[in-house]
Amino acid sequence: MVKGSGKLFHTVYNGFGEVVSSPTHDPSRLDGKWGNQTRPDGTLIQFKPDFKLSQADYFFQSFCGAWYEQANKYGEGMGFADDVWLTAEEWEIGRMFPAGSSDSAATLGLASLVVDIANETAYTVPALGQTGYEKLMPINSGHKDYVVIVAAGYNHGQEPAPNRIYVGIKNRAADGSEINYATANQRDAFLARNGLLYGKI
Amino acid sequence: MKNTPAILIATTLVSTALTPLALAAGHGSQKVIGQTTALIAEAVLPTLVNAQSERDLKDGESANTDFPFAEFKAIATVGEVDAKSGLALTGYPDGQAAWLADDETVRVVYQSESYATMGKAPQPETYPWAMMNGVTFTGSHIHTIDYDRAKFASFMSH
Repeated sequence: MVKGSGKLFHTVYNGFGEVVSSPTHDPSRLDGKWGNQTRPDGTLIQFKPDFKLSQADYFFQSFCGAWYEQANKYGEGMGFADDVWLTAEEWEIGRMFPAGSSDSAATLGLASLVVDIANETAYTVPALGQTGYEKLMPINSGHKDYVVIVAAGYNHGQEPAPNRIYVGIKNRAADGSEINYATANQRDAFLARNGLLYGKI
Repeated sequence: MKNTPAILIATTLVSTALTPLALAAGHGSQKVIGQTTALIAEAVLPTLVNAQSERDLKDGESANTDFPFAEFKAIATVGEVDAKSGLALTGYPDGQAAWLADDETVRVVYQSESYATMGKAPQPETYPWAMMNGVTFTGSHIHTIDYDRAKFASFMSH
C-alpha cells in the first residue's frame, strides 16, 4: 500500500528573504542564518553548550498545528492563489541561550512559514510575525483582494492576551505599494499573490 | 463493522531492535512504513479499569481498543523507516492533512513536534533534514507518505 515517503519541501527561505545556506558568523551574510538564533542585524547568538546542535546546521523548533489549504478555496480568485501549507515554530526557546529570554527576544523569532506545495519551497513570512504561534488558520475574507488568518499562539505571560488576526492584501510589495511581478523575485511574487507579503495584525 | 473507520498516525516508538537504517536517533525500528498494526491510542487507561487489565498489557500490542465512536487503523507509526531511503518517521506527529498527489496516489502529510536539544530523550535531536542546497535542519520534520489509492481505499474499508 505504501509507495514511498519524503519531505514536504527542499528549499527554505529565512526572515531576511534569503534561501538558507551554510551557516556563517559573518553578519553581512544574511543567507547563512535561521531566525531562531539570529538578531535583525545578522549577528548569530550561540546556544548554550548543553543546547548546541550536533546533528545539523540549524533546527526547526517544534512545528505544532498545521493548515493545508487549496488555491481558490472560496471561489475563483478568493483565498490563496496557490496550494499552501501553513505552519510555525511554536513556544519560546529562551532557555537555549546564555541570557535566556533576553537573547531569544532579540532574535528574529520563531518562524511563521508558508510552504509552496507545488514547488516544495518554504518561505518565512515576516508579515505574520515570528512569535511562536501554535497554529495559523485562514478564514474566508469574502473579498478577492484580502486574505485573513487567525494566528493562535501563546500568551507568554500576558493575561489576558488578545486574539490576533492577520489581514493581508494581495499583490502588494512589502512596503504596501502595488507589486511589479515583472521585476519581483520568486519569493516576493509568491508571497504577494497569496496576500502574505504585506498585511497587518 | 462500522462504516467510518478513522486513521491514526501512532505517536510513540515501536519497540523492536535497533538498526542503522533508522536514521532518527532513538527511533530504532526495522519495520518499514505501514508495517505496524498495533495502536498507540487506547480506549481507556488500564489503570482506570483494574490491576489485571494493566498486567495484561503487552509491549508492541494494542491495549483496549473498544472505542465507542470509531475504529482506528494504523497507517504509519513513528520509528518506521522508508523501505528505500531508510529515513525514519519522526515524532511527535501533530498537524496533518491528506490530498491526491495524482489520480492513483493518496499523499498523507504530517509534521512532527520535535525540540532538538531541548528534548528529553537521551539523543533528542532528529536526523538531519537535508535541503536541496545541502543545508540541514534537525528538530521538526514535515513528512509526506504516499499510498496507492485503490489499496488505501480497500485498507480503510476492510
